Amino acid sequence: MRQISFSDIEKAVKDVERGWTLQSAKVPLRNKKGYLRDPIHGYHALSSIDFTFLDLPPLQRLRYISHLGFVDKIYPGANHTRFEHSIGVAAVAERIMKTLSEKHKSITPRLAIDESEIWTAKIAGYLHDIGHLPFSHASEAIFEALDIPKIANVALELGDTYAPHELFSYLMAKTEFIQERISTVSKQKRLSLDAQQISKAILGIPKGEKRYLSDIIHSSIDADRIDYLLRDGYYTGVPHGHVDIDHLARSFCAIERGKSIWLGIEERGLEAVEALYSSRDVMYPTVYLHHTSRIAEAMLKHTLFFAHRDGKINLLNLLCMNDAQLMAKLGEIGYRDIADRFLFRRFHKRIMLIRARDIECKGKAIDELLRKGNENIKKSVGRINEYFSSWKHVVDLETEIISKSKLKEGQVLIDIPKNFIGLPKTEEELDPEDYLPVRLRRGDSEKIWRLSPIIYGIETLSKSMRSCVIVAADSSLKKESIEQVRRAFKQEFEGRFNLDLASSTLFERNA
Amino acid sequence: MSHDNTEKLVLSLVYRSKSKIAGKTKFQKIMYILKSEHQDRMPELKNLRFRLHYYGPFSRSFDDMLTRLTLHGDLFAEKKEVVDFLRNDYTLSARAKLEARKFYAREDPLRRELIDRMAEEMKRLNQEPLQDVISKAYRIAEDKGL
Repeated sequence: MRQISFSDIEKAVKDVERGWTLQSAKVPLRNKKGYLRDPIHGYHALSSIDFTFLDLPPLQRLRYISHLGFVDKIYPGANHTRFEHSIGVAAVAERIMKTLSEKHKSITPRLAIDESEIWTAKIAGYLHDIGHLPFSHASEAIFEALDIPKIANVALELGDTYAPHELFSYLMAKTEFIQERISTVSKQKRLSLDAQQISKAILGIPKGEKRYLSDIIHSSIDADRIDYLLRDGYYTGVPHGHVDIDHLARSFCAIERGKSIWLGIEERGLEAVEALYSSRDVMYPTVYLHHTSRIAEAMLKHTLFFAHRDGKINLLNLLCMNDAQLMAKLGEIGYRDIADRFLFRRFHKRIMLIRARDIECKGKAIDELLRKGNENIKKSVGRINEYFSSWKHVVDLETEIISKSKLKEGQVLIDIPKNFIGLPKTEEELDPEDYLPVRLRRGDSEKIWRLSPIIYGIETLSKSMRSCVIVAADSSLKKESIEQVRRAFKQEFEGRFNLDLASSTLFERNA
Repeated sequence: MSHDNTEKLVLSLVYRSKSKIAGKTKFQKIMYILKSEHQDRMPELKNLRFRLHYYGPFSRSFDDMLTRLTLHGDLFAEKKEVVDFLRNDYTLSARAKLEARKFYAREDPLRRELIDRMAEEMKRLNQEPLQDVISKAYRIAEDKGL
């Protein structure tokens, strides 16, 4: 199976750029103003600059990419797309920038924020998701499995790891097509837009001393997160996705540290931040990681993997496809049955769900042992997580189970998230770099989890308690075959890791 | 577990400094200071990519490395209570010390001298208060335009 290289990615982005150029002759700066109604952010004005970016082919493509992948098969209202989300992110980014501008210009001239900076944040908001693939995160998984982010990370000399869509968005924002649009707008509207700064903001990489510009788009409390929680909660009908955006937007502040200016949160906004963290924490098991959605994503990941392995698809072509085009492509290359399963909601059925509390060592549940700080178990668990961080090992396990159960490739899928046996974290293991600082009323700053028991609890414990493995099987399999798969999984898992699975994992209520 | 050259260098520095490194945060900042001063002559340090965050220069790859070395028993993370905070103090296992000794012994005299100098600096920085080490790392990072 051919490994995708960074030069393959660069070439694919160039091909996408060529397509944009063919689709639109030089897009003139539309001297048009207008208004937009958005169910989340209300009625707001759009200028000619907004239209310049909204009219671009990469933005228009996002109209046909579902925001939540296959979640609409569970929550039928979740039909929103990446397009309106990008508009929302730009709107929130503008709101935060205007807050900073009002707060600081009279206090500290150095922090004065001009119109160019507001547009920088807004344009970064528009462009932040242009690298998304069909069905959003659902089709990203195969790129992560093939280590594409690591390859790009090394080639671009980035200090952090990013999701595939973030890297693709960054590379696309750096193309001549986009950079030239930014430069045209800058000249015609007499702004000083820095095209490089806009593309770096997509990855949260600061340029120069004004680091808040990148934090607004990519940080722990950013415009992206605020919009998607509100939007996803609204469209799914799940009430947990509430964010007090009015209070939160007014609570952002700029904090000087050394020569740099960072984005922070004022202490008075702490409760609004806590509500955001709680929302996110509850939306994950309810919506984003709903077991049916995970199974559908696992089916797509495996389909793309088999197609790539057998040379039937160039995965990088997904960069210019939308949802419908991918389904059509699957039909063309001999995966009509799979495409129909997605279209007509005939997903595999969950037959096992395994959490940390279902795994035992000498009769004791390992989540309890981990909470008690058993270092040996912690090391064993860490090694298991490391083992399954490689897609190859997951496929090995599936192959073994399929062979033992005398089934065909693809009839059994295992979805193992990263660090599936979540390790509760101590305070020192919380990474301060993952959180915005809080500016206290007395003037200094503090780490957010030291001020909020809710955020502390969520960040130290939640993932360890919510994470789980899902084993799914073709819904047409007979009961005997399903039982055989469960026994084979238990045997394989226990044999490989010298840990026991609780016997309750052999039973599934509705299977 | 087999180690890459960067990991072997880090183990070697801890070994030669004869120090118990006081906390993950301090370890990060010490490595950044050493990298900024010596990476031209010690290219293994270039694999540690740092970014300037609000709390100072930080390397995700070094953070992952510490986790791996701890999980595989090369580093011991001893929990120490400091006021109201729990800190991990890092020492080497016997196996890691052996690996570090072998790595050091294989180096040429010039590199060994440089490793010793870096280890001495690691020891000195480890003894300074955390805030001073963070401030120093922050200053270097800003001057270098990180």
